[in-house]
Amino acid sequence: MATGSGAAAAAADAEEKESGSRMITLTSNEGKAFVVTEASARQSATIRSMVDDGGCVDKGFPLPNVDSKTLARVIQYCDEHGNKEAHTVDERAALAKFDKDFIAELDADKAFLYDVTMAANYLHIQGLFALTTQCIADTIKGKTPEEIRTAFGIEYDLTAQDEEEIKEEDTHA
Amino acid sequence: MYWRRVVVVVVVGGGGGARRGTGRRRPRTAVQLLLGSAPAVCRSWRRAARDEPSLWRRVVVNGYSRRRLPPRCRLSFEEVARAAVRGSQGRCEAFRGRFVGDDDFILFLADSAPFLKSLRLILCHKITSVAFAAAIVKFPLLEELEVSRCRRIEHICMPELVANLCPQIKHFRHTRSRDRYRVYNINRPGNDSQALAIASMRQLRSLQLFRDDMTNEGLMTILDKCPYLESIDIRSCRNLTMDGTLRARCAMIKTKTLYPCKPADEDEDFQPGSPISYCSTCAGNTDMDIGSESDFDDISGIDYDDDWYDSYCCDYLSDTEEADLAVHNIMLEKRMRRIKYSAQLSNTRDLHHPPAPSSSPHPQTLTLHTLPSSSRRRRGRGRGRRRCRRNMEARNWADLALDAILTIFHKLDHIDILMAADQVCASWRRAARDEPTLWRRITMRGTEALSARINRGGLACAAVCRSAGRCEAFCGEFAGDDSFLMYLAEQASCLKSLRLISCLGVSNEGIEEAIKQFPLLEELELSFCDNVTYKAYAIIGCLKLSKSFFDGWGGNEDVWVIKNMHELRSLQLFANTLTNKGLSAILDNCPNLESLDIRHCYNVDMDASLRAKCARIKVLRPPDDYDFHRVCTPRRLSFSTPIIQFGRLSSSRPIIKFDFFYKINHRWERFPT
Repeated sequence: MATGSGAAAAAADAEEKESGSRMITLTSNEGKAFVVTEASARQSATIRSMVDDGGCVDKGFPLPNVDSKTLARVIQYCDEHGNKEAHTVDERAALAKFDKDFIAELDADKAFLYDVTMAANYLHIQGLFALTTQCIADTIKGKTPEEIRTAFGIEYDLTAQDEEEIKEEDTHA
Repeated sequence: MYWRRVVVVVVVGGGGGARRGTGRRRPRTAVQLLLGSAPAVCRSWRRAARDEPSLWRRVVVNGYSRRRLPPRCRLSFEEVARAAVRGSQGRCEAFRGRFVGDDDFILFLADSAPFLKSLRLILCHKITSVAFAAAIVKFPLLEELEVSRCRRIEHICMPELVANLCPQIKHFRHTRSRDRYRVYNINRPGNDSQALAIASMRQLRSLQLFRDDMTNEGLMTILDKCPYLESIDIRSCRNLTMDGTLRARCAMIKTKTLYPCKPADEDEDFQPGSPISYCSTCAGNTDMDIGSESDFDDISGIDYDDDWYDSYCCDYLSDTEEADLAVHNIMLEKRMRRIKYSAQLSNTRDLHHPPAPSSSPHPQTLTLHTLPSSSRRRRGRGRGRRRCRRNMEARNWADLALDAILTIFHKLDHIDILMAADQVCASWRRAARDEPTLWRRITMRGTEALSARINRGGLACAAVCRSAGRCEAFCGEFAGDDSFLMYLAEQASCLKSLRLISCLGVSNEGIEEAIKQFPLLEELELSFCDNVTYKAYAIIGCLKLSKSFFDGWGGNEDVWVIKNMHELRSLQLFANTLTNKGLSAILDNCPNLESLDIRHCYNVDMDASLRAKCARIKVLRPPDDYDFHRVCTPRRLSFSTPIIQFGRLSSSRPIIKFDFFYKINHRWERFPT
């Protein structure tokens, strides 16, 4: 979870001003390179801390846990949120609309949603992570366990002991 | 429209030509038969209508407003009903009246219909329980009795009277009328006296008790003592908890409607397994010959025409009834879809896997539209044993990082976690059970319908138990009662926020006892908790601030409690009897007040002096704030200092000290219409 990143963001704000125009290369696990602006990359707390540590900015960041398709989508989000500034009401509304469309697309493809969520968790992109987890939570809401399993394709792996406990809770509740 | 089809009404017998050339004669209500066009068609019809007592064996009078009567008619519905009963010449065997009849009429009926077997009174507000008691003595053969929403016959002794005086009673339906002003009128204290009286009706075949106060013990007694029971409808009996024993005991009942799925459910839509007209046990019984289906066919060979019947019913449906039926149809459609879907699922399962050797009884034997949650859960579990269909490129959601799972769970209502998410798979279950931080702030919001289906108190206890003593905030809607509060007080001594919404099981004593054990409480909300009165507020006030005691406010108790809370930051008094004097006392004594919401406190007149005092308040909602009139949910209020949000506590920032005191008094009659 990307808790506490808010404070770090504030501290890094000033630095961002002077080095905002740098380009950073991110490499997916398939070896494909993506070039993004630093502002965009700073959406990720993981990358931000590496950049702030003065590490291998020129060599690029290999991301072994993220494939190209997912990374492309994540970068799409980061570009939107990192490169554009939302000060006016209209800009904020546009950003909200982008988020809505973004998550609607992901919602249709649960496997991709999973990948993006994992990537957001790994890269500590707070906004994206909140967006995807909210989407998952909305899917879970009001469903029975079986419906949830069907929705996400989860295998039933509760042990007999678990079932016994659930049965016991049933009689209480 | 199904239930209306069951209503067998008197039929025009005898000769007469085919009407409008359709060759089909239609059931008529007594009103139509006496005053409508049927007797006016021809002489033989008229003779048949007037002089055939057998025609009046079953009398149905559906009273409505006056305009339903033909304009030339000056008779009241009571007079129509009398004429109908008189027409039967003492052979009336069934009477169904809706919006009809008064004391005189029911006594008249008792005198003129000694063989009455079925008496159904719906919305007959003019009949009193005294007259009813006098009349019921004269119906020794009564087999079916319905008393639905008759406000004055709701005396607690009514079932006992019936049980003693009508030994033949087989079908009993009793529906309490709705309390107009207490929409949230649930969780009345349990009362089994009616249930015990009903238990002595040994011949009972079908039973409908809608909005009754009986408890589990009462129902068990009924089930034990009435061996012939075939249908039972106990919707909206809030004191019942369908636990395992009760469910097992109910398994023998053929037709059941157990718990409401929507408050909009109307009582009449319940079709008993054996209504009196088609009673399986009575079918072969010659005594019981009151307009059974065969009886019908013999007379006229009626051919029901559904379209016609629908339009016929529509004539007699009010708008609200139409709306109810529409809701009902939607529910039925949904249910059909669900059955279809589950049938498809089970088909695919059967294709791929042999059926399990010991399949649990299929919960769909529970008929009608209700799906008690636990049976849903059971069904879910039963089917869960098979492997789920995998997508082409599936991900194992069970492997989601614990962080992510917890973040997702934090965004859910805790009811969803307890009832569904923690039964999905082992890793999710671990996350939900072994992570006390998840249960630090418990939110259990729900609807009235949901609260009736599950024992919210039990779930709430389970949630508090999982917090391992670290629960800091509890927000429950329709959740919990006094015993739950006691449990919470034991388990969560560091509680900072307690919000109880529509928890009618909470009483003055309960809240007093519990609140003493929450020394750290900062936020308290008691909304729609009708059983908590100002007596409890005294304790609440003294808790934090016993230094200045002020009396002399006789009658305005809320004020002297609140004005002692000097730390108060935010105050909401909704539709309170607060006056100007009281408000200025609060403003003087609570220097830290930041937001004040006194909407619908119409005794407050915002004059210049009061406005001056209110100038320092950041967020002020005066009594006549019209925003509210559109959205009538006080919960949606927002304050300048928000209620502590989720996640705020997990950060390293210090908790901002808030003192909230919410109280919402219901005075719905004050609402502008």
